[in-house]
Amino acid sequence: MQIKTTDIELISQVLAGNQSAYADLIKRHQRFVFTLALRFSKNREDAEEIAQDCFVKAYRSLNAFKQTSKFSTWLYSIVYTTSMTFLRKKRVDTVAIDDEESYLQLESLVSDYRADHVEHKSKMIYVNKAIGQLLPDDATIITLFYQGEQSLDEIGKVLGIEPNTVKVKLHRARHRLKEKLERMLHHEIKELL
Amino acid sequence: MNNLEQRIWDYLDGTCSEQERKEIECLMESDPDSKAIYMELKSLNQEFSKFEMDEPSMSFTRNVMEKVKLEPLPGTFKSSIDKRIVYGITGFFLITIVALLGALFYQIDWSQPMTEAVQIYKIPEINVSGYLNSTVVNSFLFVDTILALYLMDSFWKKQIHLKSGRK
Repeated sequence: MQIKTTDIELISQVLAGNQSAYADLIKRHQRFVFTLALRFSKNREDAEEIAQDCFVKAYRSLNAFKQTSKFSTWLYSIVYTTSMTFLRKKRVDTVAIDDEESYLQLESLVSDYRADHVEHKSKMIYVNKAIGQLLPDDATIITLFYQGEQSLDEIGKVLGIEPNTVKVKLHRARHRLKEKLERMLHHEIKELL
Repeated sequence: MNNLEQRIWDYLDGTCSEQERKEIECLMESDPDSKAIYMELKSLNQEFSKFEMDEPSMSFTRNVMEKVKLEPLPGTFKSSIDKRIVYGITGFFLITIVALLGALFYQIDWSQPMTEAVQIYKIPEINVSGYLNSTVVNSFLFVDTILALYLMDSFWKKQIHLKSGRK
């Protein structure tokens, strides 16, 4: 049985001069970093550029990683600050809840949903779409909590806020996500879940 | 969002106290509406934790590694210049200059009259024409051209790497 090398072991190898060990770290975290970047940029090309940037930045300051937290927490904090800088630079207009375009998107989804019958549609598609329509901050907290396996304390470190504030923000984000799903699926949500 | 929902979320996350946990459990046993909300939120919680992550392009790792190869190794001198070292060197030179100036002013005899003529220093003439013959100038230009070509080559290599990394 092959024992999986830990992040810390891979980092030690990179710092010892084995650059190729960094490729393993990238492969391990690329999906999550890319997903997180996509929550901000809302388009794949930009998300890919942000994610690449994050890994290069992490490599540059790898010796500054003090190992007092998980590598993923440290990496996600880089992703968060890089994505925020990207948003400020590009002045991306986030899709508001009452945005006309958002309604159009929802309408098409609902009709799509009805046409294809609920039983044949994956629940995950709707959850993914609803998360994609959330504001970047809400989507980030939801993603970090449910997919990043990060505790409230760790999310606080990533976002630079207190764990109690994270708790409140997480509640709000979940509530908005529930509303989005309800709006998207109308009354069928209760049947779906 | 009402308070009950928030309490149920805390219960599901396991972030509530023991007393709050017991209260919620009692409430769910006695109140069917609360139980229904709990079941709905529990279902949502399960769905939220199942959503799929997006996949970057196939060449993602390769692109990052190409960029990483252009970077110095983390922890090497070039990448780990501590600011304190820079401040220390700056401080040392500032103190040395101040000390030299202090010593200079201390040694000046301020009692001398102002009318006394200031001694004029003359810079000695240097004959450079003997050193700058055509062979020296040509060699100098040749080395300069080689260096310029080398720098341009490394600059364009970096640009091509960066561009291919973005694609």
